[in-house]
Amino acid sequence: MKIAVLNNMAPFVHGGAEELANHLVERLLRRGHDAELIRIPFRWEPFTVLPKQMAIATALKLDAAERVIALKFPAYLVPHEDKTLWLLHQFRQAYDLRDSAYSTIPDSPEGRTVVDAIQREDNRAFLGSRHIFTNSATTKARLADFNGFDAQVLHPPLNDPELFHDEEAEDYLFAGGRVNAMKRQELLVRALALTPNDVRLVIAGPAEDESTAEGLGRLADELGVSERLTLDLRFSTREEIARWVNRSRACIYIPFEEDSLGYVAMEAAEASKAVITTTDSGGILGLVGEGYSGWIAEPTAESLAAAMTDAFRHPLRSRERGMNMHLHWEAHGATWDKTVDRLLA
Amino acid sequence: MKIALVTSTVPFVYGGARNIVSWLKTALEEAGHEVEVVALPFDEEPSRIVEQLGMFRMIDLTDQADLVVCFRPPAYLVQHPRKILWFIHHLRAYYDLWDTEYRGFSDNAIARARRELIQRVDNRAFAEASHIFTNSAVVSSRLREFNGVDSEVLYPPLGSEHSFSNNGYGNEVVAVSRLEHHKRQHLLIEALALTSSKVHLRLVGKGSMPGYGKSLLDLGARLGVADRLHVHDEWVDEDLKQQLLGDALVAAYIPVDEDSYGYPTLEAARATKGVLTTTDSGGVLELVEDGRSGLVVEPTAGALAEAMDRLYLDRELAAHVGNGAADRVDELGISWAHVVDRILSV
Amino acid sequence: MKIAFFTPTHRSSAIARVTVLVRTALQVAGHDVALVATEEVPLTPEQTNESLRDSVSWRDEAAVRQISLESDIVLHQIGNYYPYHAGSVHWLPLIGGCIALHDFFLGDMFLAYIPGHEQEAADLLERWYGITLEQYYTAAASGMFLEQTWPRQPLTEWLCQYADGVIAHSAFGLAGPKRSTPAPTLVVPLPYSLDGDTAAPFDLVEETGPTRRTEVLTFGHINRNKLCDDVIMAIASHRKSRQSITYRICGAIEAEERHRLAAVASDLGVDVDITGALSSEELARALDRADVIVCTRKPALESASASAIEGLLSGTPLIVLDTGFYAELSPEVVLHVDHRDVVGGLKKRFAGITDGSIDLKTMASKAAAYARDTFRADVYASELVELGREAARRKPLRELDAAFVGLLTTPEGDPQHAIADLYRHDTEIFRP
Repeated sequence: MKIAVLNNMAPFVHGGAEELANHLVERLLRRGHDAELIRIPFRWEPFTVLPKQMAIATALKLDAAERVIALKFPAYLVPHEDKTLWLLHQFRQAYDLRDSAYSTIPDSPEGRTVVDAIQREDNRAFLGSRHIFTNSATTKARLADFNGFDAQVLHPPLNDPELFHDEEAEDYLFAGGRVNAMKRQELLVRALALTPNDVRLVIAGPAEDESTAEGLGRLADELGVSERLTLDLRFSTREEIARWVNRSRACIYIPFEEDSLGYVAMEAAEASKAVITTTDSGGILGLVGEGYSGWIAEPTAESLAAAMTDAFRHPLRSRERGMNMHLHWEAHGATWDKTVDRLLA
Repeated sequence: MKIALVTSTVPFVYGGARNIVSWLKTALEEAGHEVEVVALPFDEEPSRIVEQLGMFRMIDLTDQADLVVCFRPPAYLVQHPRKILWFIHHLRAYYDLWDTEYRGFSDNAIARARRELIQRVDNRAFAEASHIFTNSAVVSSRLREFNGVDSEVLYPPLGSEHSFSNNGYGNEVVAVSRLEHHKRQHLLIEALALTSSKVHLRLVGKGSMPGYGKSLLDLGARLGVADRLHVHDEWVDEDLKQQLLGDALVAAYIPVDEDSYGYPTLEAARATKGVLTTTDSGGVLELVEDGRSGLVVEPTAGALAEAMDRLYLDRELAAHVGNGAADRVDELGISWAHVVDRILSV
Repeated sequence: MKIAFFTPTHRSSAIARVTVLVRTALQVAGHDVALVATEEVPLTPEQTNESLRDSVSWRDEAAVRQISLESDIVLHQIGNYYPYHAGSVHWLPLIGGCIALHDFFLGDMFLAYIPGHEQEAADLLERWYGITLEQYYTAAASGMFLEQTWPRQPLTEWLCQYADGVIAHSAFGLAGPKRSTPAPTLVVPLPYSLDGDTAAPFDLVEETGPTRRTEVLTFGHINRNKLCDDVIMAIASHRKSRQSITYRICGAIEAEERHRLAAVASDLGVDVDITGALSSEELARALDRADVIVCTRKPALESASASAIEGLLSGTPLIVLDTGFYAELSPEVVLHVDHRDVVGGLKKRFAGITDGSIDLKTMASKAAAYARDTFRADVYASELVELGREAARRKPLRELDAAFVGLLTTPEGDPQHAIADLYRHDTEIFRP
């Protein structure tokens, strides 16, 4: 079958969604389909460019494709009779982030016009889709709340599960993933400062920009935790990440209200590592059970410090929770084969 | 530098400009730059063409890239203050194919109005470019003729994953190309039937229509040369292709009035083989000169047969033009180093 | 040029007869005209105007697409009757084309279209008029549909938004089309001719002697719109008019209405002759005999009136209201009456006629020539071709703007909107 996979592109930015799209195409090709990835350039500032960004998507002609799988706004607006959505997230600025500090759309007549247009186009696209999948329960819930559409959850699987396995734990907790304000590594550093001196933390992942990276280093110095904090802020190879995960005592992931599960959590689950997260982290809460497969702390330095200390100082407890995490993941977790089956159903 | 390579695509059809874009990306990354490819579908259906031109125009890469290189139309409509064109071809239905049977749609009043709009838009977009490269002298002269703009020829090299070897000058004339009437493999077969030596002809490439490859084989049988004719009616993998060219006496490439010299010509030169071509092959002649980098003859079976025999009987000549072809490629600066240099210098 | 007409082809359709006229004129001028029949229910050859039997059905998608791809100009004949124009309603949004607007009010056609298209209809009513479907239905069921919805809800926007050009036969109803499209609009008199067997020989009006009564004629489908009551009242209110005018009412009429009018006339002492339906020959003779034709329809929303033109072509002056298409007729051949006081106005005109201050004879002598000179198919054909050329020239930009219409218009319709500005900036490269 000729299948077009549609995603956005913010030029020169490559994150999880890009990886996912690439892997999806790869897996479709392996199944013998003629699959092609189409990436639509997307800008969202100033907010007045949003209507034309939507117009660009709706003007695209994909008659040559028999099936279309679209991942994000506004790529999923491309018209096609046989369209399946795998919603990684909507344009949150027009929905749940509307009134938050992250919103770039003002509450003015023009802003409201744009939000209305987005909602109208979104609803039209959802109505015209064959299937709607979302990458997490959170995204599914938002879709139901804001647009009134039902969807099935389809967790993006790990692209390289074979790299992650349980190894003898060394003396650190591992916090992976992109480093930026929303992922709240700064809070982790503050939490570390409230833990006893034996607790060690490794933060490894690409930083959003130099100032973020420098800021963390400075904070660590100020709080006097540089000795027990390892900052490896760059694009590491998968093997390097796997090594950090596999030998950690537990993994930490505390993003602010993230849509999806997060690869960090999946990697941890694959490697049988327990996870420390927070009550407001979003999608990951579907996987982590307090006391069962990890720790769910309040998003405060004190609460996190308590969880981190507990995990670090009780390796057997961590191990047990890690194994529970793995079992749960085995039973419910996604693989690429299952994923492709469902997308093409 | 952050460089965006922008092109249009036909979904699920690969090769052509897509290869150039992907090879350029590799070359630029090796030179230490960050490269992003913007490739969007474009469909020339007349009632939708204007809308899609609008779509490309709305794409604004200002502040997102330092430099933008645009390939297949209408990629050059995107907005950016530093836009370079590596122009491969026009929307030919609205230019040189307008008065021919290849236009593909009716030339009613609306089509004429669209043509006027397209030419206006093209002219303005070309004026926005800071520099225009083309892939051949043929295309450059068309730009001058139709749009009144000057351009610099920048020959597209093969991707660096292609490495060829020369295993000597054997008995086969090897013609690598899609099998279709326009490429005139049938003429090569007719020529084979007129040869007096025992030269062989090998056609490598998939038929553009089912049954076309077989019709060529049938032609060979009818002309009594089935024993010296070999046809691979399929896409042949790189290794096999390189091996076949490596063993060849000479390559043959005789398309009718082609825009540029074509990859078959480059592939031959890489394997240090000359190219047998004809006077009316168009852009091929930018690379192939008679007696130096190949043989250029009248587009008749007789002339081609004579050339094939000549090479078969004089292996030194074959070697001479083979080396000449390789030299010619260097002389024309057909290399990614040169391409990167030019792109970053303008 | 290759021209495609989307048109009714029914034998009884006046618009189909216009198509025949215009097509002939176009062919004489060297153009090629292909036909697409737009009746909702496909016709049999017997039902089809015999000059239009080479039409293809609008439902034959392949044939229609083929014709439209090859044509330089596409023209849709549009009138307020869905059974005749369903094909154009279907194809206009898909392929565009020019519209020849025979009616400035398309409410009845719109009502017939709504079932099955409720969402689209609701969006349209909201967008152009800010009313709901329910509100519109209420007006439709009120018995005063036209009075309540004209002129604010003409529904011409519904189809004209897709038009590449609009040709109308008078100007009074162009506000609707103009606000719905920037495409060129043109006013050209409706081409008309009387068929061979109904063409009245050009006859001078007989001398109006003291014994000859003045013949006043109303013809057509006789209903309340024709204002026959007002004519009777106007004649009745002046003794001299009563004495010298015979009012002939010709055309299909319900028995009840016939009795009512006869009774009213009798009560008021007006000499009335109600003939009922007539054959073409009988009608031609009645037109010929008439000294003046009263053509006062209320409300009159066609962009041109065939009966008025017929009356003029037969060499007879008209009495008309000063509204709509009639307002644009020359006062040398028609007598206008203030629509706000019809009876009063008619009374004055009849008085003028009976006392001789109005020279019907001179008007009659000018009427036929005026009509022949004005309602010409050859002029119409050449104007149509010019419109078509202009429409074709503008078509590519319309294709662009149509594709991105959401960026041009905001609910407020504010042209200074930043999004529209951005669109104009982005698309400057396309505009001449």
